[in-house]
Amino acid sequence: MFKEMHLVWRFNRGHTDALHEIYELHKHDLVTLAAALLVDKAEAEDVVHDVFIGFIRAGGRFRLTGSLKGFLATCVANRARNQNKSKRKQASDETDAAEAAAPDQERPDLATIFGEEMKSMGGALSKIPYEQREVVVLRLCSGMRFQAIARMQGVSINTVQGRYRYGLDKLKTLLNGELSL
Amino acid sequence: MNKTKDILQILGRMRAPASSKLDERVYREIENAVTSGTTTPPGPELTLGQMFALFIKKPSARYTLATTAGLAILAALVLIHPAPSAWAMDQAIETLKKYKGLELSGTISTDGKTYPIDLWLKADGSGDFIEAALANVGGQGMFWTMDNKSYTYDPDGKTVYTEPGITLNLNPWPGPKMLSLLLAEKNYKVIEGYDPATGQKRVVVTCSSASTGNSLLLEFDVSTKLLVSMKIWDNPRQDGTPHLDFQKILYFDDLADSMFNFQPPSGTFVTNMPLTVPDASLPALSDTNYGISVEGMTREQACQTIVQQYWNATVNYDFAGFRRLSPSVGDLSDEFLRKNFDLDGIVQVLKIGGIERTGRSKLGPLALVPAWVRAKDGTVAEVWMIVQFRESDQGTSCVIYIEHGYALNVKE
Repeated sequence: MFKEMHLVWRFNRGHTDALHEIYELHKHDLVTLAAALLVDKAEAEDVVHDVFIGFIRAGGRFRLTGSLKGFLATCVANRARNQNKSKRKQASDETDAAEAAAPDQERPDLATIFGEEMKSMGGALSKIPYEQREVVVLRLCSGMRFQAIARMQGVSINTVQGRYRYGLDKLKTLLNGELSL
Repeated sequence: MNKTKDILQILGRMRAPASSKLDERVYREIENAVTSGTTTPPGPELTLGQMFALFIKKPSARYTLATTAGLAILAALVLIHPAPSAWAMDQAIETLKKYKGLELSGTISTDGKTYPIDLWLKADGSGDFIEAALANVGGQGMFWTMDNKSYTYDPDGKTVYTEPGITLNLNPWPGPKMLSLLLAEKNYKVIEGYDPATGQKRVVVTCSSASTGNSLLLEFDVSTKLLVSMKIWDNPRQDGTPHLDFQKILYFDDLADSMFNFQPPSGTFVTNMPLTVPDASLPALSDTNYGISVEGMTREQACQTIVQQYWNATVNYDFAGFRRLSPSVGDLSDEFLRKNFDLDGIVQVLKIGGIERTGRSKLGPLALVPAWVRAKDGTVAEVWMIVQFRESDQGTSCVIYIEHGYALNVKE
């Protein structure tokens, strides 16, 4: 935590090496989080890029109230949700929405995104409702507390815990027979 | 294992690393922000007082002191310019050869506040290098080594930072080699007297260095020839409370590897320690009198070239060449370097590895590069170097920042 406070202190005073260090420290986790939420590496990197642009612009007035990692993860999750909404809207606007969504189609890019070992999990994540996926991923990949997720999603903690259970159950069903990962 | 547990584990292991394209895009944004004035102009660095103000807000961040301790000791024991004495330093050197384990207990002070520190060290077979270390600072932060890797645990952030090699920077081992290096320099004082508490005869060796700004007091027991206490100040005059004050030093013939095991709590996040260079070192690293031009080379080629030259200079006792590659050692005397090279005993460069990690300082990109070298006793060590790239009117060039960690007795 001290390290983060020191980095933010320096970032607010215009030390660009602190920005570099913040980026280097968190980039892989943030891209992983965005990729798990969007199941698309290019979109995930766009989201992380946009989050850092916003962060750079906050230089000089950024106040760290919790952990920097948690703050950046929340920014990524918010942007990923917006991205997902606009993608869904675009898909529903298109005449062949079902084909665009292609829920059961094989996704050869999943191995590229998550590695061969994790592609089944990537595929399964893409098939559970976004709200559930968000809870499961934020809880398990980012270690975020249910309370923080509830605040972020604007719902009660019970709803979040319910989404978590439903999401895990759905993943179990989808990955049935493929758990020798 | 049930399926839910499997899913939890798999999701925990999931990784989609950031691509170099994203790195380029974000770095470009940072550069643009600087040139367009989006970011505020750099202010002054944190003063010690401000650092400490941040520090006491989160006391569990004391882990940082663990590494500070190592760095301070390095500065005091290695870079200091202490002095020879005719007293029994040779006997102390001989005596210390017997012991391969140490526990140093005492305090570490910064800005008027003092914290306990407990440091366990194990020497390698030669008795010259640290093979394993465990530092507990204030009971709330830990530094330890395992399997030739270094770990720093920040309990508040529930994070362990890892680095390849042993990076405690406490070398040489505070034993024969360190005392031999002291003898290579010429400005220490020796005082003999009695400890009123025990009535035992003591020898006190004091050293100071205007160039590094440290001073040091070593107390030896005359009958056992052992170092019994050690104080290090951040100023050359022994003013005020010492930064490090080891009041108890215990010696062990050897220590079991299990002594150095530290298991962070489950759920701790593990990540790479970012590769950085302190801002205070940047003016020296930007000096174009040091380093080599790497115009037209890829970063890999540049790293291979400069690290190869660095080790060739070491093997050939080419002091001028050695200093030219690294401003960090630019002030060290021929005598000091000769003694250090003698004690290191590197006779052959076996291989220079590829870039293992990257980072960035204000000057430009950083690269961590391993090299495999053979010592005269036939053992092979892997040593990591930090290479700093920089741009100037004369084009792209690079310098060696420092040796950053080592692994002993590795396979060729």
